[in-house]
Amino acid sequence: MIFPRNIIGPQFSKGDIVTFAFAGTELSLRLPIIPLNKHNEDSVSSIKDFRNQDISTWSEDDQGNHCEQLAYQSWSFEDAGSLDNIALSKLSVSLVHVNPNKLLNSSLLKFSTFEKLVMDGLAYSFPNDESPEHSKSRFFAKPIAQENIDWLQVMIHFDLEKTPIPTMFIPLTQSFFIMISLEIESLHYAGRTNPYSNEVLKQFEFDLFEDFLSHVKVEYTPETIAQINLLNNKTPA
Amino acid sequence: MSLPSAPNASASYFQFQQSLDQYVFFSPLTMGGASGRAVKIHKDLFLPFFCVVDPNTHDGQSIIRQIENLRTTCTIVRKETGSGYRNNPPQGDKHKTQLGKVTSAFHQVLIIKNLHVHYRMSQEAGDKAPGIYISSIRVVSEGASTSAPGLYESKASFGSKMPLTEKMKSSAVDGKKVYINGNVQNKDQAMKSARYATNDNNALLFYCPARVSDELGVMGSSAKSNITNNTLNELINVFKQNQKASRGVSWYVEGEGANILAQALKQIPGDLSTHEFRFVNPIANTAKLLESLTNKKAKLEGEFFKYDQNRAALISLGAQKDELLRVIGKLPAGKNYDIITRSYILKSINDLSNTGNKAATQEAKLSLATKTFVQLLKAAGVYRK
Repeated sequence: MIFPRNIIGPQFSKGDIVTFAFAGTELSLRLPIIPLNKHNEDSVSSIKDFRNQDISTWSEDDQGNHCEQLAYQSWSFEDAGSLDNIALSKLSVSLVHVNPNKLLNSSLLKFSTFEKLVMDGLAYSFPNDESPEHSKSRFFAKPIAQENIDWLQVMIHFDLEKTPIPTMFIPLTQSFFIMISLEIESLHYAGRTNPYSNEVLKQFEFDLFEDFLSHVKVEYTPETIAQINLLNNKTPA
Repeated sequence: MSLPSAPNASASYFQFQQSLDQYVFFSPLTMGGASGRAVKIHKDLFLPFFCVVDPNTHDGQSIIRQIENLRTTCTIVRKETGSGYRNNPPQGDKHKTQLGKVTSAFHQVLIIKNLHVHYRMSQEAGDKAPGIYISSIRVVSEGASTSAPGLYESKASFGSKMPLTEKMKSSAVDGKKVYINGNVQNKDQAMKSARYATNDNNALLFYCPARVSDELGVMGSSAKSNITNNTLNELINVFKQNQKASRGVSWYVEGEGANILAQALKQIPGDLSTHEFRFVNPIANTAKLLESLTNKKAKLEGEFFKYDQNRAALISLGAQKDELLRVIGKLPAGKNYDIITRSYILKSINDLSNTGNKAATQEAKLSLATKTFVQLLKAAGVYRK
């Protein structure tokens, strides 16, 4: 990816390939190699194989789903002219195991179930006066067409002091899905103005997010694909 | 003072000439001759530099290499430093030219990341060619400007192990743990340290933006900007509203955050007898702060002092060890377990300050012509941990 103007920083296309295994599914990510710095964070889950994991010890979110952080990275982008840190970037990939009580014998591999679960979950965490039907438009939810099962992209207003950030939900197995979000925050030094406007950085955030997703690979086994086709009433090609 | 302040050796040309023997070569690459101009730095800047620049990091290397590049200076490079006011109003052209004439007669500024390096070009006795003399440095940290100072709490959200950081609507902190952060880029990092320091996922954060901790810090300016005043007022307000907290309030104060607490305490009337304080790597005049807390009858019990590998805190301890031990010695005698922890704290301060002083004694070695500033910085690096 070509960064706008004079921005320099790690490239996803040159990152480390990290693979996680699930029952019937394999997920690979390209995590950027970030420089060692005082404020940077670079953590990747030590668990790589989730086929026989005891999830009962994981921490829970506000709705009783067990969660694990697959990766959390935070680094600063620099301006090549001044070498100033101009934007703080936070990349988070979290793995969620859906509470079986919520699934009721259905499977995340059925897109309509998956979509409803995510939208209900978001509406619960970020309540609003609107009815649940409106929450889809509130979060700008849109399915992203994929070969087997679609992904769901939403804009989440995590922090009311800031603007909504792009987040992608990807179903992996019957009860596991991942949530990927990327945020760029403008950095300022006292007495110096940031040469990059918030609009430029917002567009950059979106482009970076697309770039990261282009390196995310989800491989399903033939059995899983058959199951997906069955659940979504698709005739196999 | 907790940290040795940067000397104002650039105040006048006369003072500069008086202190010429205090300047040492910056690095092996900047000793003049075949590699370019000589770059020299005032040796009193060793400790401030040690606290701000870590040669093991990318940012630290950027700073060191940029300073080394001053050896190729042919024309004067200047950058807009801004007027220093909140809105950074543009300066008039006439004012700028006048100001430019005044400053260029004295010194230039190299702005590199969070460091302002003040230097002048001059040919002094013994110099074969005009060289660069670095006379002072100033720290200006970068930070996200979107988050307002004040109280924040964690809120769990859908599908994430890491809770969100959300501004609190009230300022009631009775019975809670409240953490005041040191120098961090944004509130999420601050909240993360809050959970780590308090060992409690429901701890509250009093967020103090990086700009504020810079301004109140030892290398900061004496003038306070609006954001600093706002932060102070927020904190004073929290103290006033919870002064008589029946279940008590546990405060955890990290690094530079101790400075804002010290400032706020000056403006709080009455005592804080139900408030308990703990310090993590304080970078401030800790002895004075402990004294004013004792005057307010605040609780300093158990392991109220913690250090985990922060170089600036180490230096700060080394510089004020005796004072600190004296103040802790004057605290009301504890009971039971407190007696043990108190002696443990005293012992650890003693040991730590010895290490801090070892780093400081590296500075003395700078007068030897054989070693340069950066070489010693690396040698002193072993005392970082």
